[in-house]
Amino acid sequence: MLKVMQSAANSSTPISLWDDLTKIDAPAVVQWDNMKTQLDLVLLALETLAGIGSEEMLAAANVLNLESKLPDRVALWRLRQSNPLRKGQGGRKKLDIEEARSLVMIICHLAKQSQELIRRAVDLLEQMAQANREPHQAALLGDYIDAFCNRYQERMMEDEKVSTEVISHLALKLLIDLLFYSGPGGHRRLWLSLIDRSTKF
Amino acid sequence: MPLSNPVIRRYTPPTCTLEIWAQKSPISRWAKQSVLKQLTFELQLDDPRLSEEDKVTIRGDREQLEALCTKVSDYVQELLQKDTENFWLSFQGSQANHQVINEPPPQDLSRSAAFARNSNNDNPNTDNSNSGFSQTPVGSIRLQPDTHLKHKLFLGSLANQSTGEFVQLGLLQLFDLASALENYSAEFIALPTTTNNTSRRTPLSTWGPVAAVVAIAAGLTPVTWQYANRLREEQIATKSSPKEESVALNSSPLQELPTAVPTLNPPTPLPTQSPLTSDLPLSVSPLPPVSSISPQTSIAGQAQKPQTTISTPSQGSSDTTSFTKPLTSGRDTLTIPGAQSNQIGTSSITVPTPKAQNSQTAIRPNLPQNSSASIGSKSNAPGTITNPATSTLTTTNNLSPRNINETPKPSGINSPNISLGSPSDSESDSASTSDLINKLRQNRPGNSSKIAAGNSDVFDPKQIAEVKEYLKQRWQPPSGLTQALEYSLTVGVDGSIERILPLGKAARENVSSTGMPAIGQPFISPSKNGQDARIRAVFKPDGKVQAFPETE
Repeated sequence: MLKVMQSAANSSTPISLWDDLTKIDAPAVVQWDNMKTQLDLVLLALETLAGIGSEEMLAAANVLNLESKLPDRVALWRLRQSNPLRKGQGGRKKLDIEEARSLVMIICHLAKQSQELIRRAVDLLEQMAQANREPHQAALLGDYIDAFCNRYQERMMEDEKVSTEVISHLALKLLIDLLFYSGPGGHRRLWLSLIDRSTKF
Repeated sequence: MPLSNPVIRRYTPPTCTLEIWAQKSPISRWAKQSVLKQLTFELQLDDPRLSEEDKVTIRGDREQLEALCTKVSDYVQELLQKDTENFWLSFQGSQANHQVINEPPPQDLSRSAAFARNSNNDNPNTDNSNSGFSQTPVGSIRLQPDTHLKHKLFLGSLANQSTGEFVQLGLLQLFDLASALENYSAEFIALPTTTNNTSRRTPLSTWGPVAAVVAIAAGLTPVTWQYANRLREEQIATKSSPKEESVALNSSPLQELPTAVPTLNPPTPLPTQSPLTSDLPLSVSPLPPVSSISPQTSIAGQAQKPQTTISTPSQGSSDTTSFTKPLTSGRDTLTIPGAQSNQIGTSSITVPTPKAQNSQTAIRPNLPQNSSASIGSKSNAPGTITNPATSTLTTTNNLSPRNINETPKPSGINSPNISLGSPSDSESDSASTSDLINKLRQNRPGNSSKIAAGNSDVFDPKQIAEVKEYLKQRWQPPSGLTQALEYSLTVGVDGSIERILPLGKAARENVSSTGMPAIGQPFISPSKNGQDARIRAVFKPDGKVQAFPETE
């Protein structure tokens, strides 16, 4: 039979993925806040679109042999609370680089699992754009945008006045980002974009 | 796309298909990733949502693929790193586009500059390139945001008549393309080939044969020496020692040749016999013993006796044979015969020439790979006619009369040789031999024509039949199949399958149900022609299978 190749990403182990990320030099000066914010927002998008909760995230950590970095629900919550945009100050902790890498791997793992749904949403988004229609007119996208806006406003600080339109755009951008994070090499892409954001300012 | 490349890798995300054709380099053994050489690729942007006309196929080589990988990957990364605001701005038409473009992405200034240039230049062209294909591919491969969340992939050197200057990709298409390329990059390293090869290969190709001949000569020297000594002992007539030495040097006193060879050495009596021997070896078989006369004669003998006239042609032949000894035939070694032929030409007869030409025509199909030297010798002098004949002799291993009479295969080549010999015979003494030659010559034209026909059709009908039989037994039409599946198969000399090229989407998707063997697996019996065969296999939904040779 023809040797039809399987996705190389399928064969990659958690260790090799981790190595991939460690090979990328972390910048000397990092605006960790940006990295923490971005990680939390990507997780928020994933959570909103695919209904992924902390259970699934911890399970992913287990599969990826990252239990030591993300042992339980509290640890996960504290990691997400490290996002400076989050409401409330309790339990905020510093995010170290290994924890950031762990979250990157978890996000990409979960995005890959939800790739079909993400594809469908992006497909709809393209169709709406092509037809010059508002994205929220498609049910899947409408629900996603509404839920994202709600959660964002619910969880993020209010002192920054952010319009719903901006949040909607953010939600859709994160949706597209998730598509690429779900593909082969997605973990590298996410990690590089985090580093880029962290060094921009 | 080189047909000789056996390795197929295919990446099939939903909206595109990337096929890699290459040969695996032995270096792969030591590398983490597979190392490929002579890589070419085909990318089909075959999103099922597109109409057939909008589906695009792009082909290119390693460098183009690498460029595509880099550009797509960089572009995707740039998209991901864009701020939300900038991201949406970049897709809001040309004006916004310019704004974004003029606002250089933080990391890559040169790239943003390129963007600005492209957007300025390309916008006016877009309509043209979309509708008509007159635009020649200019510039390099690059991507650029378009409206409605689309992306323009400018194909640069990959552009062709059907693609136009650029292709528009949706987000999913871009993602799938990036995924396919990422998978390829993760799996393979492709070695540069095209440019370096030419420079590297030329010296190799020129010196390779020389080295091979030297190696063969060195290897055969002891054998030759023993053989020569044995012959010498058997011989009653004494011969000059220098000749023997020359023989030893020749290194190729072939077993096949003894027949022709003997004629060469003895200046006086033997020349006349030589042609006979060459003709008769197996059919009449009176002369085989004559071969004992010694194969050495070749060069030395000729040099000494350019005037041996009639016998010279046969000598020429013997010489060539002696060099070529290895079964395959001494195509490369023919240089010397050429020189000889000149000598011979001066000395010998004019008569043979026309016949020789005839023989050449018949023979040619078998000699496509013969060295230019032999050809040169043919063209040089009329007397050289013998050379072609001799070369043909070398190519054919079987000298049996059966071949002369019946076979339409290369073996038939003997006949021209015989015919060539005949003129010399007529001048020589033996009438009986000339009779025989005449008989053989009568047979010749028919044979030669058969040979030509046989060779024009490179395919072995038996192989075709085997393919058909093999596939017929295994073909299980999948339910719901409505169209025939077509594949272009390349079958190696050893009968194993070297390449399977599905023709069409249905064929690609149903490869598994055809029952074709895996690449490299034995398939049919080895080729009698010593050549790869390209066979078209058609699997019909009703369970029938067709197989026929593909024409070039």
